[in-house]
Amino acid sequence: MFHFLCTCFNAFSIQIASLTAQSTQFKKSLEVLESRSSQLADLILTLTRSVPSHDNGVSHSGKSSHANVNSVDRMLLSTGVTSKSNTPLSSARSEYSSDSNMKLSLDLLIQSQLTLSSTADNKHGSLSPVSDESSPDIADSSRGFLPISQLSVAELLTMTTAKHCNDIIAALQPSDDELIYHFSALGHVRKQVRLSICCTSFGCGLHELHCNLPDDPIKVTAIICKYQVPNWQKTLCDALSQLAFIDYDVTFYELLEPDYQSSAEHAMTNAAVTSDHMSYRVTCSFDDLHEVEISANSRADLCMLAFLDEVSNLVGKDHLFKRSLLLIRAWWMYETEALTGSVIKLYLSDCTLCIMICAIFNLHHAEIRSPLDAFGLFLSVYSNYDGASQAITLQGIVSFHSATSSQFTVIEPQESHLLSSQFLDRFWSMFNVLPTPSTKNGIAAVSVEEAKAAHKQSMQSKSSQQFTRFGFNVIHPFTSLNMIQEKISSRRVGRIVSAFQSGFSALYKWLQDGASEASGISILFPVTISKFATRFVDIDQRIHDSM
Amino acid sequence: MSFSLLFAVFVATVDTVVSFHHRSNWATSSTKLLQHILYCNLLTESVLVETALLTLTSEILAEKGALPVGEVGKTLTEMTGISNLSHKLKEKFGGLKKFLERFQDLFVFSNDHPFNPHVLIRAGVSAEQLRLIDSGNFPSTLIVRARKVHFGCILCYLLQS
Repeated sequence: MFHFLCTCFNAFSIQIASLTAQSTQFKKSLEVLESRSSQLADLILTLTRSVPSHDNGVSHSGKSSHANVNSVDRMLLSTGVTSKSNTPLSSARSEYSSDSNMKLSLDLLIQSQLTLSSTADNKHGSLSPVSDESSPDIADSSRGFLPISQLSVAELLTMTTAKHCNDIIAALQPSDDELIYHFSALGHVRKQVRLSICCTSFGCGLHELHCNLPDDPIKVTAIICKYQVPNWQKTLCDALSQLAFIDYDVTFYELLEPDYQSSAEHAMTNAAVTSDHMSYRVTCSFDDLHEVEISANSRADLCMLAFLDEVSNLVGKDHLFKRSLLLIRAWWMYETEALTGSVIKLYLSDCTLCIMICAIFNLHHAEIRSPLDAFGLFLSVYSNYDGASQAITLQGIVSFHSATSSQFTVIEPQESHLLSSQFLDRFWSMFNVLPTPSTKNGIAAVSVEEAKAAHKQSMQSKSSQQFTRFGFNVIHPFTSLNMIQEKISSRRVGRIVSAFQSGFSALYKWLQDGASEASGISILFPVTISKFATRFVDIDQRIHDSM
Repeated sequence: MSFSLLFAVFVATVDTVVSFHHRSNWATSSTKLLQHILYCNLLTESVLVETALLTLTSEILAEKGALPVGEVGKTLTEMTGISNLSHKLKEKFGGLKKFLERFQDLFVFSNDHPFNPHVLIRAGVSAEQLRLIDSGNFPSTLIVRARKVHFGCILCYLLQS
């Protein structure tokens, strides 16, 4: 009997164990199902987000879409066009107000933009910041959280336009192989600089932010001690000419820093010294493919890179700032020559252009959802710039006090701006090194904050005295000096503004026509497309491989 | 409607693929950029910061081999142009020796002098030599070899010029 009971108990416990195992298995499969469903939801959300994050209308029927009108209007508004009955803005409004598919109210959008534009215009002249609070629709769509059910077909189709722009950006952006090559090249150059003049050097071009154009030179800055400064350029140039053909055993440098390792054999030839604005640069040809520019102690360039990187992080939206920077620089470097009939790309340096783009993001960050938005705003804002009486600052375009004065209206950072005063203060301290406060018996005479404020005041007054006014003025946000270092004649200023205007009218026409033609993008970027045709083939291949 | 939606989803998919394919390429290291600025500040603006000082010391030792701590300090003063560097180091870190001793994983110290020992980069020392150092026997060959390397560099430079 006891045995029987034991057997029954054993059988019962085995049954319970198997049931427990089954329930655990069931739980696991439930978890798997749950995770898969959440993955699916994420995917849908990603797709949904990618819709409003890329802009501008496309219509197969040839009509402008809702988002298309949105983009055009935004540009019109920023150029100062107001709502009159015969403007494209109001005609678009009447044309599309009957469209039942438009879930996002176009009227509300236009109204909110008009209100914001008028208030901002009162405050800041031509640049008009838009705040999130006063425009919930814009803010929501800019964050990309519109449910897919609320999106109209027209809005979904705007992605085609974004695809054209993405193709250009993807074709210009450095590929994985190019990044590896650049890393190796930079390691080689740094090693050669160390061997030649015994100093450390760092990359200081847009390569460091991975948003350089394919034919940008490799920029390096050597950090030279005070006693090494005289004739560094001559020593380096002579040494580079000799070192090009000598193979050195430099393993101890690689020991020091892995960045010195180069994965391939490189050759630096045709070293030469050039002088520019009282500073020397050593240029040479790298592997007969690229140009290398070596400067000395370009601290400002390093700080500018850090600033741009931080701005990019602040903007977010999948590196929107870097993508926009690449697109706008491509247009400036390759397209402006055809638009104006002369080479104007050197009139504005990379840093100047970057600050101009930063200004656009600082004021319109809530509106900008794609590189094409940034490009359109950039063209529309600067095509209205009057160099004779205005200056470009990070806070917008400001006027000079008088026709001859170098004093300009200062706009303090505001809440609606992307870059807060704390953020700018941090970079101000980075650009302008604070001298160590004097101490008496180990006790500082003034506090760090006081010393910082006094230093800032003295630097600002000094730079305002040193400010030189030209026909085109871009104020450095951290030194208050003119970023245009050479006097630009009024004819040249005219060419720059004319390039912006031509670019804007081409973009406006393209968007007005519906932007549906794949070839339409070639109206805006014909030179870029023909110059880098092979890269476009490559990107297609890469997409094909990825899929 | 359904065709348009399908088309839009297709475009979005392609767009997402392109975006994902390139996403990794955009990311950069802001820490690295800041370190470069700090290094530049030390050499050109005489701003003393720990990370920059550490990098510069490593570079000096990698190039010159084992050096007495005092010699390292002298070279640092020359390079940074900070005349009262030793005073500042004493004030900030308790002295150069104490500062370097904080980074035992980077530097190795000889036991030939209590206050001014030789210092060299750990990565440049073989495993066998490290074992000897850890057991308290500093191989004197390391210091001699470093001098030879230094002399070799000068000879090479002279031959070149």
